[in-house]
Amino acid sequence: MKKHQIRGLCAGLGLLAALGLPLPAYAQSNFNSYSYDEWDGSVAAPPSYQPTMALNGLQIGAGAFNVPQDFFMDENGTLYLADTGNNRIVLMDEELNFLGTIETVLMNGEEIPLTDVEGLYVAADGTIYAAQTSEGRVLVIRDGVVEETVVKPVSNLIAEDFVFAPTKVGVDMYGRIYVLSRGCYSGLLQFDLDGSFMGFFGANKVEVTADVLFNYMWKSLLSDEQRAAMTSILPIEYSNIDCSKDGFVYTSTVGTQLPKSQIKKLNPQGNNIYFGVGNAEVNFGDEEFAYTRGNASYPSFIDVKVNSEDFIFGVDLTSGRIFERDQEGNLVSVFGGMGSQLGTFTTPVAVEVYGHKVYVLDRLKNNITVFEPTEYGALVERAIVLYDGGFYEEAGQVWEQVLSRNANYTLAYNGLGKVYAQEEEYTDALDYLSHSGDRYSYSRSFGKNRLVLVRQYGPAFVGILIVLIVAFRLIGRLKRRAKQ
Amino acid sequence: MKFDRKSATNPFHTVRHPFDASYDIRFKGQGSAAISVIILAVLFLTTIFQRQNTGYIFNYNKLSDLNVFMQFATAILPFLLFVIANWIVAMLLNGTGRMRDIWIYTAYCLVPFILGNIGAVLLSNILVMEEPFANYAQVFGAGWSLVALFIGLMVMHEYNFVRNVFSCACTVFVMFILLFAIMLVGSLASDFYGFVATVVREILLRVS
Repeated sequence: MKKHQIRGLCAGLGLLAALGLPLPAYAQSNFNSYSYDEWDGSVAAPPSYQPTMALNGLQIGAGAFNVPQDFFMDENGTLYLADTGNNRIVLMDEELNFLGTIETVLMNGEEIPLTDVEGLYVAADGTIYAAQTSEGRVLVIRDGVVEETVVKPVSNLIAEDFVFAPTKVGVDMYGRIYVLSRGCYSGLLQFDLDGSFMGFFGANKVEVTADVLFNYMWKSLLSDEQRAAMTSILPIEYSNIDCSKDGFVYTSTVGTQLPKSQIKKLNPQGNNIYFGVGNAEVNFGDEEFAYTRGNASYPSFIDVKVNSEDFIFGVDLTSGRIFERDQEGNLVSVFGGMGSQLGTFTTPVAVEVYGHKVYVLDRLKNNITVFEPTEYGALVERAIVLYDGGFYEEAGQVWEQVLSRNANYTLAYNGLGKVYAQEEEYTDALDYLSHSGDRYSYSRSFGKNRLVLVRQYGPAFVGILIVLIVAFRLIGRLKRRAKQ
Repeated sequence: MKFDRKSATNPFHTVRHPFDASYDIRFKGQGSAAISVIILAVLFLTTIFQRQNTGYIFNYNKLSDLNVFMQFATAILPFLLFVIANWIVAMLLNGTGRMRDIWIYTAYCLVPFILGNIGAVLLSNILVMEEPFANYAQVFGAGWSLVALFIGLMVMHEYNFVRNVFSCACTVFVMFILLFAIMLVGSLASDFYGFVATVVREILLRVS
């Protein structure tokens, strides 16, 4: 009986295959994928990134990790992991194959252990910048030898009791070193090539919340002594930095109460230039948040990374999600989540990108999860890259494919609408733009379409109007004459 | 009563001659309650029309989320509040207008406002973002309504100008108080309902 059934099933499958019918195939994610509509409500979307593997230290062959705090992927696809609890740096390739470890380095002729490295940066020539938090220094290591150290700078900008506790480090295209120090609210510390202090860079501003306003009111009433006894209001410190290839410094901020500008793109003057449509500050994370007993769980970004196509990836510690946005602040994809399954995290601390792969480090799970884009995710990214590059027609074809997979994606409607507007097919442009929420582009196409319509029907309309007026006049005159 | 096109019973005549018409409504018994109700119904329909049919460029509403009851409340509640508040203030300030007169005259005064809004909706469908004429139509209609209302109330209550300004300010204040009272009663009622429902459920559980 059983054999018979199996044979029947095989025959059935064979028949389907012979007829060329596709078998229903599906993949289930361990997390929800969504995008946002015009009114900031979440709508379901196909997954853009799917986890392919999650490996811990034992599986990689490096021995168990112990609270790793950061990792860095260099341009050749070598992954440097700061295994903080084990006082070592672990090297892997892009497939997470074990390459080796660095446990000690030569400094002034003697071997010193790599204790408490919380932040890493690796330059294109293989120079490792390791931030030793409790030692209060950043080591610049070339071929296992410490070439120079960045220590607490002597400057009149810096107070005597300032504790230099570097947690993250980044190096820009000119070789300037940006250091994030724990408990420093004045921004990043910027060092020159030779390790000399240049100044503070791009501090966060104080968020204007109700508490702050209340405090401000009190302070204007109190005496100086009373004022000194009050808690001072400080801006939130950055949580991580990433230096992009084109010379910008991206920063992430943890624990903001106003969901705005959690990810900043700082220009060389230290000003944020990451804004969305209409110069609005970008809320990098979720538009909808969960409320528990009246307290919103706002997104809290712990790391940021920009890939070679200028897509920005930010890891939200609150929801365990990775948000991907483009340079205009449009949401490209959301993936990941909280949990213990593949593709979810308990404490994500760092994100890296190599090619199209996304690597996420989990501090408590002690593992690295690798995500790869799905067909849909790759299409969305390609369409945005093509459009930004000015290849409107090609972008339109890709947006078409995106829409057939996700009819809820407003960015696709926007892209297609703009493509049609470019081709002066305004009826189609208006149809697509009316689903995009981009009223400015819609208005421009509408105006041009109106001009076309007026040119087309205007003369006929005016002609009929004149004929009608003349006819009524004549009838009136005839009637009056008949009365007389 | 026979409908006279040139009397204050005609709302279009009323809004063009607010001094005479408000006097006629108060002291000659002109003005029709039926017409005022029709105007309110049109006002309600206009708010829906405005929400749903304003051109896409100017319309930021989610069209699929229409709540007719909410629209009804936003259209009619301010009117009711204004009429009641003005009547209360008139009693305190020795105004001579009666509830019926205030109701009818206020409803009549909504006509330019409604027409302005309808015009704005129609215009918004042929204008682009940089052309603000739809707003102008709205402001013009609303302005006409407010001026007519102000003049009418002055005549109706036999106030002088300053007293009428004071009365209008008081009316707005009383409207807020009424709104607060309504919300208070609403929240108390829902609490009371919750309490009764809990007691009943408890009793039912004990009985069974």
